[in-house]
Amino acid sequence: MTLSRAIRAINCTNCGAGLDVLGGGRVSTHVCPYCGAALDAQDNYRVIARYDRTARPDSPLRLGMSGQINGVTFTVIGSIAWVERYAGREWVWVDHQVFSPSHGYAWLTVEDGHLIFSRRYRKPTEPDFITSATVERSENRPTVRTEADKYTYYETSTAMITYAEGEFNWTPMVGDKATAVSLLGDEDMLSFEQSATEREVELSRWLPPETYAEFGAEAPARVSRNHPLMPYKNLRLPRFYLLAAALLAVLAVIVGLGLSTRQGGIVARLPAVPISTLPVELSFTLSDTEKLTQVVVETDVSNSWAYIEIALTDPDDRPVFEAGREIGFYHGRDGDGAWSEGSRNSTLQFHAPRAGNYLLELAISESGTWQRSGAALDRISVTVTEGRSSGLWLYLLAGGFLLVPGLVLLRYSLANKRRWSGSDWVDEDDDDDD
Amino acid sequence: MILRVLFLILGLSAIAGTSWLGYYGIGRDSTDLDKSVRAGSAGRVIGTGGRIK
Repeated sequence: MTLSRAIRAINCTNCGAGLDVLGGGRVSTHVCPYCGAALDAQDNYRVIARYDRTARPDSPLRLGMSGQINGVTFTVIGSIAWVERYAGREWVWVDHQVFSPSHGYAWLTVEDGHLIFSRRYRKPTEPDFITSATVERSENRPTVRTEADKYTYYETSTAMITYAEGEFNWTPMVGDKATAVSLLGDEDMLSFEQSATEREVELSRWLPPETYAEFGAEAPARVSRNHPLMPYKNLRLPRFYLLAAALLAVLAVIVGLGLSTRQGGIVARLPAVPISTLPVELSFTLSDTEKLTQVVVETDVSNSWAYIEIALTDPDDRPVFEAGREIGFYHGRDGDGAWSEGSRNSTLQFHAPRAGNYLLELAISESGTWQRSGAALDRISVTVTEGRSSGLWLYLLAGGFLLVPGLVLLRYSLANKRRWSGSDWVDEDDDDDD
Repeated sequence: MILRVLFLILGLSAIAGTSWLGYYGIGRDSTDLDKSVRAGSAGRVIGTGGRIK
């Protein structure tokens, strides 16, 4: 029997209940929501199966509800509840078959409170189809290319129908299983679905919660915070600010390097002298009191250390400061190769309180060696430079500038990580980390 | 547009300001220099009216 366009309702051939006919001419099965009888819409609504009515799923959408999706009016004509069980866990969702006289059949899925719109994808894909066996054999995440996008493997799910009611353009049987291999793109998901009787490719997209109201339904109170198809909310920070912040950071680093590498003027140098000559005094004249004066002590410690005492007195022979520094340098080779730590040099920086002649006193209070290979401190040299600058503040400022694009990138990275967190693919590197 | 110009002005001003600090090495003195030097009298002791005993 081919249903006339004029027919808007039928009586269930099993229980006699009145059933609205909403689904157009390609409906093949009509499951009575009252008695659970599956009727063959192509054969005088003959009863082909009877299903249990107790497992009606919880969904805000009901048969007969109409609403607009992307400007096209669709009507809910059928509902199917699915369950997937794996490793003691259970995932439940409801697929609603929707129909538009102008755009045909599609699906509205209610999953964790989110609403997903799926349509059959008829354009070519490369490869044509992906099965769970393909995924099992693959060493890397499988990918699929379409004309518009590239999709990367997300998950494989084998689910079972637990409930069906309404009209369908196929024959859903409670207890039937179907396997879907899903791949995630930038904005949508491509699913390669396979059941005992058919193969289909579907393209799914997340719909905003307002769509529930479009259908006259109330949005679920509980909605999961994350769904792989949820769009990434941009900070709406114009690209200009990201670019400008990055360029300012580069400029700050360049200026910082310029200041760091300013040589200044050497005012005193003590060539490498044997430590037997210590303590020594080094006198010099400072004229630049605005910028930094730098004292660099260089030693020849090798797997050894020394504690050096330094004292500076001003032109009036009053102490400016006293300081003690431990200089130690250790090196060797182990299973990971050569290693070293510490330094042979030490640097002091200060602002001279006033111009004039200064006296630097240098002494060694303690020294020692490490293991047998240690070579005790033998020689020491000192260089005093005035008029030095520092690039540190510029480097810190560059870090501050980079926070702007850095935080945007970090936010995107975290959102992307969360988006993929539900994937059942585990990269070997990730596995090693665990 | 004004915000963008302001952002650039603020950024360049920050570079100019930190360049000034860096050029003169302000805040970059070694922090482990012992400058605590006794110079003559220990001075007045607070809370004793200036008398130790």
